Amino acid sequence: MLEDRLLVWKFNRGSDRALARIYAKYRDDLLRLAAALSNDTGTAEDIVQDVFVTFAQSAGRFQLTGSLKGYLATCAANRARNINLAAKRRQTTGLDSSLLTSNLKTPERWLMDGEELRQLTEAMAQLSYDQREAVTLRLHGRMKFREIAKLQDVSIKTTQSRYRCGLDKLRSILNSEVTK
Amino acid sequence: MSPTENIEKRIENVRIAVDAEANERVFGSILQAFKKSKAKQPAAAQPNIWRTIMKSKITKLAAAAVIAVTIALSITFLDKSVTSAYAIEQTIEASRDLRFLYFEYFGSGDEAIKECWIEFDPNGEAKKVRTNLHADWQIVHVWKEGKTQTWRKKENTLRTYEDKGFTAKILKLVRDCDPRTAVESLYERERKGDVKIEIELPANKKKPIVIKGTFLPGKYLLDNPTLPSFRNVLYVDQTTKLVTGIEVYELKNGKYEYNGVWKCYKQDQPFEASIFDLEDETPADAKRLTTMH
Repeated sequence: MLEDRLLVWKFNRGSDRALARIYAKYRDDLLRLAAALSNDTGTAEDIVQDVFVTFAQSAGRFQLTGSLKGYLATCAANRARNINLAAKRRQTTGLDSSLLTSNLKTPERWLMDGEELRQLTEAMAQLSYDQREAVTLRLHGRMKFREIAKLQDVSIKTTQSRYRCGLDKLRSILNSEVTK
Repeated sequence: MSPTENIEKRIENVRIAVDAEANERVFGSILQAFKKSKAKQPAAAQPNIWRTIMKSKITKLAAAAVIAVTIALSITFLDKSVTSAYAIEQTIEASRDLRFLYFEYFGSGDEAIKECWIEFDPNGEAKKVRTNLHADWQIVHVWKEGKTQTWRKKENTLRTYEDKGFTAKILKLVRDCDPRTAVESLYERERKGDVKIEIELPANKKKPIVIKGTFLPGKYLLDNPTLPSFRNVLYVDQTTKLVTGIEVYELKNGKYEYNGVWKCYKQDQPFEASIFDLEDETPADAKRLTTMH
């Protein structure tokens, strides 16, 4: 926690090394989180890149109030949510939603799909977005229910219920894959 | 393990694989955004102490005064009998607003970053010091007006104590690093016979004065007589007479090999109070030992 505070302090004073350390420390966690939220590794790469670029641009004025990981996870979740909402809007206005993710994919892949990640992403895709978000932010973002509830703008109980229902559904999906 | 814990663990344990080359390109774009953002920041926000000094009105005036005496100083500089002239009172005036300094040691290899935070009182006396001189934050010291907190990660202990020997070492470190006192400190060691000094005074006033201090074997640190000979090379700005960097060389196989450089950054705002208090950052289950005399 304090290491992060000092890293942010150095980052604000222009240290490339501090930025590199923050990136190396949280890149993988954010990629997993973004992949689980977006159901697409290409989109996940874009989300993580966007989050870090925006963070890098805030150098000199960035203020850390809670945990750095929580802050970055929240940024990734907000971006993933915006992409999800945009996809929904396009669907209702009759546009081809398949364009969304394919357009967002980077030409050279950064994140290589592992079998575990593929299974998880597919299983996650079957949850409602709110459930997926609660599970992902809790398990990959290490966020507290209070923080997730604030992000989702619902009560803590609702978030906890989304989390439990999401886990139950995932268990049944992943277990059924194993027994197939 | 319950089914719920099972599924939680399975999700948590998902590992990802990242293509290193593509990753490098992504980080390159992040770094580019960072550099652009840095370029937009006002010069006052830049970390380097020397630029900051020249931005301040009072320090500009004092620096101008220093320029006026530079020629005289330069003539007598090579004469060690006038080293007291190099106590640079004018410079101290010029840099009296230095209250918060941050030092970073850039090693020649991949070794861990060494760093140090110092807060001075208005009289220029060190008030609070924090040092991270060991890899992976294994040992961290915070010193506040005689009291020391030492965090040892491996032993998971936080010791709070008063130790005159440690206080002396910390204050010595401060004098050795402080751009206002680093040269004086080196001359003090010369008077004790611990170090030999050589000075290069370039004719070009834009180039720094180079002061080489070669320590005799076992004299580099106060408490480590087994160390070989070291050489500190101090770069002194000819205008401000402040030390702008300290390079460290170690004698190996008859040659002085570059070890790294200490760089100093001035901070305009006070450091966060938590930097000088290890209590909160120490894990709750750490052993806490207090020894006071």
